[in-house]
Amino acid sequence: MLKMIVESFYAWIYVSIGIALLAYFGINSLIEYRQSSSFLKSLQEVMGTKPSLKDQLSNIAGYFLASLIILFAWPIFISWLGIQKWKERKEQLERRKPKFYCKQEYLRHQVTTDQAERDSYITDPLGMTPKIAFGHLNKAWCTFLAELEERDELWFYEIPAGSITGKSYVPTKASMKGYARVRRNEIVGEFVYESD
Amino acid sequence: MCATPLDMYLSQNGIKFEAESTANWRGYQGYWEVKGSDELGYRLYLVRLSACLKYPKRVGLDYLFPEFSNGVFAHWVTGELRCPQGKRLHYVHGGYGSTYEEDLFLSFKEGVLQGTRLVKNEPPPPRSQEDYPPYLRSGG
Repeated sequence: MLKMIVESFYAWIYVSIGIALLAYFGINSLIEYRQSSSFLKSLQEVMGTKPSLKDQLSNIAGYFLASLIILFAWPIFISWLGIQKWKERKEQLERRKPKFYCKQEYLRHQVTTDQAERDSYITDPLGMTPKIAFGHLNKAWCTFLAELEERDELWFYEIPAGSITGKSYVPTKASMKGYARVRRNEIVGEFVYESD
Repeated sequence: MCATPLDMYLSQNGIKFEAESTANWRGYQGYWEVKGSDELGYRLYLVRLSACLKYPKRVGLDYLFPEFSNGVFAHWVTGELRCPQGKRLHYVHGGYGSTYEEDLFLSFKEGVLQGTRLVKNEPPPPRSQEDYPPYLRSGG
């Protein structure tokens, strides 16, 4: 008898947690739906993509199934939610990372600062460029070098014409050349000296 | 010219101009020339700039290049620049989408002219309402 009481007590606790979670996520979903539904409906009407009865029924079935899972298999739901949140956070961090034109595959060879500067002087018969490393881009080059730490490596990179850069999904029209600051195999800075 | 060869210089140096109106979001107008001779080759130069630093303050070439206010050799430019010529055949409200009678393409390598090519354009075929999605059709 005592065993039954204890078992049913635990069962109630288990189901109560499921009910609480279902109520929490149900209310949240309802609020979200109400906030977006009027806009969504008007958009669907304009675009002529109003959901069919089949779509609506499969939606209801989906919600019903999700409710059952939350209610009776909430530990699985919580684990799934945790994984989703972790993935979301990881993607968010990835998105926040600074974007560079250069990607790993475009790194050609490691160079020293002297090697990089040696071939960078510009010839202009009209004298409309300063006779310093990288000409008019010297200030940008110096800023780039100022951020170079001891543990960083300096790499020459070249992006062939028609390639996808790290900043855009549109292929480049012309080749791009520059130097990348590489820290623990990750690009942390770049200096472009040739592009369109 | 339907290209912005100064953009890379500006982004490399962290310089941004302010859009003065919706007709010019990048906030500046650059004036470019190809100068040189057959012996020395032809090069691309930025010869004038009119940029909005903070409305209504405008700045010129000397703001970016104090020691080269007469012109700057654009040695960072590699690629093809499109210069439309002639009458406008078709208008597209945005970017460089409009079609002109001719497009002169100038190809540069590190600011030095490598070659040119001229492309003659035809007006694009007229589009009917059915070519557009329902929400973009007029009178709907």
